[in-house]
Amino acid sequence: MNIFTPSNIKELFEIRAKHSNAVLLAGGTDLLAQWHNNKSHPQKVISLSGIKNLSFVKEEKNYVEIGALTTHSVIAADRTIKKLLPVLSYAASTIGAPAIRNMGTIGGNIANASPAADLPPALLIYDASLILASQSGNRELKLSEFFRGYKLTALSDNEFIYSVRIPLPPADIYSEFFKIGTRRAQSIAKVSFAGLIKKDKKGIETIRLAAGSVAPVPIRLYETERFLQGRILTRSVISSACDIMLKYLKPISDVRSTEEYRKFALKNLLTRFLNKA
Amino acid sequence: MIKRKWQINGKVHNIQFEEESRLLDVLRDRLGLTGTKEGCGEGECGACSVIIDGELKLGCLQLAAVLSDGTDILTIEGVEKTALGKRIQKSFLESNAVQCGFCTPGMVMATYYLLSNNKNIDRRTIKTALSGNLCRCTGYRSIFEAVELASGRK
Ligand SMILES: Cc1cc2nc3c(=O)[nH]c(=O)nc-3n(C[C@H](O)[C@H](O)[C@H](O)COP(=O)(O)OP(=O)(O)OC[C@H]3O[C@@H](n4cnc5c(N)ncnc54)[C@H](O)[C@@H]3O)c2cc1C
Ligand code: FES
Ligand code: FES
Repeated sequence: MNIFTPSNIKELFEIRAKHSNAVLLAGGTDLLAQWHNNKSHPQKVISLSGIKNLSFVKEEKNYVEIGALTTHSVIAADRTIKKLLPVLSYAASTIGAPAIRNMGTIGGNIANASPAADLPPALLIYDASLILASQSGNRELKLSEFFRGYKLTALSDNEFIYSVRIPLPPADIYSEFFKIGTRRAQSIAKVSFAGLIKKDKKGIETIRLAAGSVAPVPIRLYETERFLQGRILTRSVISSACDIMLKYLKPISDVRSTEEYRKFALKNLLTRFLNKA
Repeated sequence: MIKRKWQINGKVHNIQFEEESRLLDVLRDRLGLTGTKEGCGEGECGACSVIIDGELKLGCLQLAAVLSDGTDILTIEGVEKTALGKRIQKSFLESNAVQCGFCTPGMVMATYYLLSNNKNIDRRTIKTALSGNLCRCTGYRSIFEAVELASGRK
């Protein structure tokens, strides 16, 4: 194996220009476990961890920006994130165990594009976008447009995730992150859900819902959001919202009973969220 | 071959290893520090827990080559020489928290990391702190009790 350790972004671009097939390595929690499992590793690896200014949390006027190399521990402990983006803070705190949180990064959690990753549902309800960087410049892409299919992303060959930008949510919202099952039990049952809601006298003013492990990629539940928009939450509205959600769910290709269980679990989570809202 | 100069358990070491070596391999095979164990090799069991630059990490998921010169590494062999490390070991023995002992180095590392960074210790913080460490013989209860004992709460 050839391992490259650039110390800044310019060097990273130069190495990538010469070695287009090299794999990017961040915290390594997904990659090294994978290499161990497959008993093989790529020929060329570029480690991002020497690029120091890729780990940061910045509060700007309208958004919070988080560097791709920021670990789950830092995200879970950061005061700005806890205050402004509590669902993200909490989701990060539920990942793995302390050592995994000290190693795993937000960039890796997103780029890995696992349907079961915990940060994407939280980021989706905050309408987050990614700053993707390449030698030819940066572009901003909505996270909802980044996931293209099972473990497929919109990242082009020479790009990497530089940071995540999260617009500040409106004031007076209610938000939650729920997760059922653990990673170990993932194959049988794991479902995650994130929701954000703002109500006024006339009904629901803003609603954003997202889920993990119920489709090939983490998803926003747009149809359900559209149905709920402007309505007053009653029992029958909540029940119809669940029906709509399940109708539009593209089930994960998995054993049937698991699919049924996941739908059942997600329905319970949405109901719980709307009841508490 | 990669060459690095790290501080391991307080001593500077000049070492060489293959590009694909994990920190776990370097510690065990190059340095003879075999207290750090390989259980699963994929992040699930915590037997390979070490402290790198003050943070609890997993030797099996850490590519050694990405750790630059000057990295500070603490393993069970270093921890057992500290006052806190000795107290934790004693508590594990007194609480009957060790059977085959395979998970113990990892458990002690996670406990050391918890107790050296936190003051308010309760059952919940202990469970969280050890949530990445599996034990297949002792019940977790005696392990949690050992941590409580070492924290001075009992
Ligand atoms: C025991 C264990 C438990 C876990 N539990 C959970 C859990 O509860 N919830 C959860 O969501 N995840 C969990 N994970 C998965 C994993 O820890 C996370 O997905 C982690 O955030 C991945 O980040 P990393 O930095 O370690 O990624 P790496 O392993 O370094 O990389 C993962 C992928 O992302 C790519 N990549 C990394 N950074 C970038 C970047 N900046 N730009 C472009 N591509 C990039 C890499 O090329 C690779 O394909 C667990 C893993 C283990 C081993
Ligand atoms: S051997 Fe590293 S976590 Fe199991
Ligand atoms: S004492 Fe045997 S695995 Fe824990």
